[in-house]
Amino acid sequence: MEITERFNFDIVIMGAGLAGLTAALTLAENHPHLRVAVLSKVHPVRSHSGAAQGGINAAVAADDNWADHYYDTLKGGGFLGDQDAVRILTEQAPNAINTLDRWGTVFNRNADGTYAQRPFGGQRRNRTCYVADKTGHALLTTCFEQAVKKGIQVFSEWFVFSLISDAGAFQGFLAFHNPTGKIGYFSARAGLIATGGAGRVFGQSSNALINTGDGMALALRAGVPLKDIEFFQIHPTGLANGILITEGARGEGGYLINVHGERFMERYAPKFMELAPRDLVARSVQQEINEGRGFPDGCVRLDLRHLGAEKIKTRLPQIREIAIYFAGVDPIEEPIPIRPTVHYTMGGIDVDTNCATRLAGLFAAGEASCVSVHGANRLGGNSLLEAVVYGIRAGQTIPEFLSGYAGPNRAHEDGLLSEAMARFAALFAHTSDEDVPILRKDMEKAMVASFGLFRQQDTMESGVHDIEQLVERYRRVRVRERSLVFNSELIRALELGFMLDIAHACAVASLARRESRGSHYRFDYPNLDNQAFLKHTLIEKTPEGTLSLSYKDVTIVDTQPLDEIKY
Amino acid sequence: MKARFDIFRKKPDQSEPYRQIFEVDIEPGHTVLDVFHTIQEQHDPSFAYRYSCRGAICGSCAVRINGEAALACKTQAIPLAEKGVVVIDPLANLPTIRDLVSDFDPFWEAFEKVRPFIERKDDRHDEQLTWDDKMPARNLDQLDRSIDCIKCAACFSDCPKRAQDATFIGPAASVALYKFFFDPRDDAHEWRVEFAKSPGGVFACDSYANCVKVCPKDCRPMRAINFIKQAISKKEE
Repeated sequence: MEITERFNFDIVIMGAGLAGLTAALTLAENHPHLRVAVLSKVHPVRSHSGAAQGGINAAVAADDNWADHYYDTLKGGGFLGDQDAVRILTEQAPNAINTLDRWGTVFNRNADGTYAQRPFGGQRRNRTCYVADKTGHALLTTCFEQAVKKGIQVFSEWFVFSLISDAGAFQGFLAFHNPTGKIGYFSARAGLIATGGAGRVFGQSSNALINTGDGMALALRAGVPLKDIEFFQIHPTGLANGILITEGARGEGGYLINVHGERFMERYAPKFMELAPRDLVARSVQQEINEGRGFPDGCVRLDLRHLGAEKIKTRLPQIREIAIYFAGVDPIEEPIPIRPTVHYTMGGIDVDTNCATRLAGLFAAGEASCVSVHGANRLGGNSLLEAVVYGIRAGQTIPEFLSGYAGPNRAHEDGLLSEAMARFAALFAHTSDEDVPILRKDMEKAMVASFGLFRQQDTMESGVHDIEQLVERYRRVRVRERSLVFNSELIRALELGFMLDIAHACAVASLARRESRGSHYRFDYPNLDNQAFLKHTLIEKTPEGTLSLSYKDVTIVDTQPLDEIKY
Repeated sequence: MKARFDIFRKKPDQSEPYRQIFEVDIEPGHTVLDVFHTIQEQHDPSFAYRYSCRGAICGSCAVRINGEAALACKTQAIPLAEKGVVVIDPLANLPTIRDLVSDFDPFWEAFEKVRPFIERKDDRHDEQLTWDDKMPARNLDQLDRSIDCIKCAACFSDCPKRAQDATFIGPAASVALYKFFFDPRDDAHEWRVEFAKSPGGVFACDSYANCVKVCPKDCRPMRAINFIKQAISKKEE
């Protein structure tokens, strides 16, 4: 097994979803002289950005302003978001929408030609631009079309298994090409990780099966901290198998109903009702189920019937299709069975507002990164926005960085590549009976049991222990199939290794945060504690392979965090 | 229930393809994609197939099920299995790389031929846009359908015309052409008219309508093709 292809670029982007593509497009538009490659383990249009349904927030209406969007985002995130980062997100949002329009997205429009906007949770006005209920699909398609137009060099179905770095600087990515089995080394002066989230560590998730946190884990292994990785958003409305029913369904007026027919959100958020922030609605749904007010199938119901057939067909066509095909229910006739599902990774690779990590030349954007804009809980409609705003931003800041940077010292590169190849080859030499599917299921079970919607000291302690045992067992995991051509077993083994790193970091970070904030809710510490925990968690991998934990202050610019957050 | 799946197999080397029957336990709610996972995890770790979202939006997992192209993730297993052995093949009209994984290069080549992107002379964006003012011969319902295309290549696989004539761009690329042909913001309309009329363009379609039948997103490619044909014919009258 050896490296047969060598490529050299100025910038290599890992991930071809919205963040990766918008970065590449921005580079192509403004810096055509830079040599840019985009690597993706799937074809770009298969990226998970395409599954986003509801929309993208921006204060584009004449009577709205970014400062309101800014405050709603901060409050929704339990004030853990960095205020300078949230300002960039919300101030640049209208520009992002206009750029997407320019690139060809057909946004829904009002009769007067302005962008149509729907209400989303945790926001005081309609601020979510949309393309029916397939906004992510429309945006991803647009960006792929533009990538074709601009001749972006996309390396499709290249699976990155190693990040090479030395002396505090990024050097390149090692990857294999699924269709041919070739192994390639992509060296570059700068790398951008845009690989999305890691919801798959919980198994029960709305995330695509490919959302295994590859880029996050590679950064962690290269000595870059993961920030706030204890915060995984659990979406209130998933089908029993995890597939998402958009918040847009509630935005359009859908009700959440328990087995007694009550709109139970009245008990938890009387003012915002179904449109309270996601963490609150998800816990409310789970509490109804836990206290015996769910249906016998372990779900509550999302009732859309009163919206009428016409509105459901025109505003929520994909939701109707998903409900029919995956739950056997036509929402025009029957309420949809729903329960919470792991949805979004608020934490991620620690970056500054220029998308830069502490490793020279390594950048990250989108869900893989944590700037942080979402704080402890992301508002619906802000994920597509982050991917686009910070994807574009990375496309602007990386050239600035490169203008004063010749590149890393590559004196030890060959040795590092040999070591990485030896680690890769060792996977095939294991003779244990540790199988990927079993380890993965055990990881999912441990994460759901210990780090789900409701957390507490003793279950988290046993969760940390379980994950550490799995990390140990993973060292012996076997891969029997040798060919590198679409080797399902190999890919899943590598992805499991990435996920275990993230699960481990999440477990350690969760246990240490002795408060409740956003998605991190503890029975034993049910209140916000700004005195002790208004700060970001940083988890680092030491050279010995253990995890170390530290904290970093939240950037406060102009808004005093509340000590109690009510909706 | 126990179900039998008769699956096309091909190793990544030059050896001949073969078929293999797997007996798999399935439960209500299991999709054909779930069956593939079961086979890979419990029967043969080398079994190769594509997947991503498992929610019918990414277009990765199209295969032929009992001879007809469909998304594996969107097809329930029990109703199929109740009828007998379920026959699974890779997509047609594309080479096979390994097992159920097809080489999409011919599909993407056809797609790129239609210049599948908006062309604007001044790279402007419209602050305000009313389709009513600006969209000639529009059909908003079909426009929405053209946006829905997930490029799964089910239509490309089952298009009899493409099987006979590899110059035909096929249904999905025609849907992409439609999307920009009727976009009032696009400045390449003349080029698109000429392209539509060129050999392999939409006039090569022989109206088999398989594409309308197999499209998992109900994009109705043949209808898009007919709208383009009609618009061109009307203009030339």
